Amino acid sequence: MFTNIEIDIDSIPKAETVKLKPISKSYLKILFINIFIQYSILFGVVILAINFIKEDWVSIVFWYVIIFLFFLLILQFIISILSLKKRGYALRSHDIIYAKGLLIEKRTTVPFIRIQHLETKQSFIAKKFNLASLHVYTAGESGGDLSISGLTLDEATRINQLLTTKIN
Amino acid sequence: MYDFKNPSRQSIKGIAVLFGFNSYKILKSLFIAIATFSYYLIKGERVFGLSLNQIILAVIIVFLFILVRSILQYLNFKFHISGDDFKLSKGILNKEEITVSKSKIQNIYIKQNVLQQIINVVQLDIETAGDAKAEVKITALSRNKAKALKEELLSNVNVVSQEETTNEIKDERKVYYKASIKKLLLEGFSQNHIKSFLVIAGFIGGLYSTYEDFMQELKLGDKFEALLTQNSNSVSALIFITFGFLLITLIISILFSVIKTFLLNFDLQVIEHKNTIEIKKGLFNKVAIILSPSRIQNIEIVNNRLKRYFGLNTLRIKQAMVDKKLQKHFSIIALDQLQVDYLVEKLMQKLSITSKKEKPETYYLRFLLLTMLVPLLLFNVVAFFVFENLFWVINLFIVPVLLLMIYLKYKKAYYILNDNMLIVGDGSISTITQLVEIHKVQAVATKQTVFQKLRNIITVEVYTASKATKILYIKENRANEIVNFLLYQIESQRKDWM
Repeated sequence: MFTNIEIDIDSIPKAETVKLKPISKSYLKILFINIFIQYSILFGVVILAINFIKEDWVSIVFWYVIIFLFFLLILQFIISILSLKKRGYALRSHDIIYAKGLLIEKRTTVPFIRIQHLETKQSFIAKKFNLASLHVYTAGESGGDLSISGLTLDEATRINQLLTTKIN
Repeated sequence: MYDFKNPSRQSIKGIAVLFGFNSYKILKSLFIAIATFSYYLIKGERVFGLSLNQIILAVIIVFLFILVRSILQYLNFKFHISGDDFKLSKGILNKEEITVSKSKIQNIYIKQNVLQQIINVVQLDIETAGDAKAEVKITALSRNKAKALKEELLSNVNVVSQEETTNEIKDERKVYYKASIKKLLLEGFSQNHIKSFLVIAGFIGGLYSTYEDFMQELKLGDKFEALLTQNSNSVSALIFITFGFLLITLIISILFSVIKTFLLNFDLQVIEHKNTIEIKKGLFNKVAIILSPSRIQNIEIVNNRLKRYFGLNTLRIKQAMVDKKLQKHFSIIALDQLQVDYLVEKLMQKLSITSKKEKPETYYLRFLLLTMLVPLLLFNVVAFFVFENLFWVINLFIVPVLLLMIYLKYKKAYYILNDNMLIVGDGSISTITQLVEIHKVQAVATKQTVFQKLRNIITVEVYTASKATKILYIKENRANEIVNFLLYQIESQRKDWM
């Protein structure tokens, strides 16, 4: 028989009290390397510009640009250090939770029954630190997908396997 | 026959296909460089001081590189089926491990391009309901192996076939609604004319920049200036001209809206089939769309004050897995309230409101005011330096309009959380009611800025396969309740989203 009992809001499992598991600390190294590569390209371009464009305004602007870039670099380092602490994930028996973001904190929960497929990716740099990222795709084109970076390869594979059995 | 249990590579001919693809990619990206090279070569000049032999050597090196890359790609590309999953691993340096569960496969295509025809292999594409990136492509398989793989992948799985909806029995159709000419004209008249104005302004701006020289030849500016200086002593003439100009733009904008609505929705018909609803419309570009309830993700009901007076509602429907170009036609205009209710019930479920309406926190109002203030200040500062005196008068017009918009936006924002449906209100000039069925929700997220955190305010985002619906600026504990409730409903009901 069909029944429709009222749901007691207080008795529903609470997702906000779940303790998140932090991602690997060595992910910070990857972040640093990425930032380093980005900024060496930027600095390189600026230095090329000063050497090739022989006009007055370039040399005046040069130091301002360098200082500005340097300031940005420091800022990005600080942000990536602080934001590392905000990244974390948790698995419950029916869904996976992932949180990230320093200035804008975002916490996404994907129920297992909505997972379309999974992907474990390992970039060239991540391989050196034995890290991997796990991508959880839903059918949403609107942005409900998860990508958890900075897991150890072992962790990523284990979660991947666990989720694969769960979604079938 | 074929054993898919153990990891296998593509046909060895795959190297040729990959080589073809890679060469094409590189040639395409180096097109300009190649063009310049050939140009200099034909002219018989040296390029960057390279001799012909050196260039040939460089080309050989590039193609060798492509060949090595293709071979490595081929060697690293392995797939197999384990249990209910199709697994694919690929990548030379960046390794990728893709798992697609059989039940999630939407379509499997077998196709052949010219190169594949020549070497007699086929390409197999696996499409899942996820985003475009998730697609799996196996570029070189023998035809028999591809067929076997397709059969293996489709075994024990009900694939949603595209034909399912179109093959309905024709007899059961009946026309539910036909928009009359009068309704279409009224609908066009009550459109948002500011939008039409912007379209026209953009069009004229574009034309002007193309024919700028020609316009200057006409000396239109000089004539206008002469007209202004002639009448500069009489302020009333200036006001007259301004109003005349405004009136003309208003009339043109309204005409534009009416014609556009008329052309797009000419002979609009809503036809009821057994399980689906068909929309037919358009004068020059006729479209016929089939809506099937199982694939509908979101519905929006749009109207405004004027439209409510005339009884005109627009239903915007978002369906999963629809071509982007087609998606904009998924709307039915000029419906009265009863028709809206009927169609919503037919396409989703009965629109009944059992819970109370809840509003965003007043901090949202403050946030809207602040976000208005920044561009307004910037605009004024720039205007002050560029136009100097008296330009600030325009603020007397802009500020009240913006304040009204913000007031309306806050007033129209609300949400209702029923047991199986989420209703979210939105809009400033128009009123938008967004409907989401809870069992169609894919994921739930909360978003909080640093400033919101100080006040325990948070925004909830609810994702379906087509759209993110936002419940803006609510108290943190209420947001947690909503998230937990949504997850509980999705996970305990275990209904299919499609």
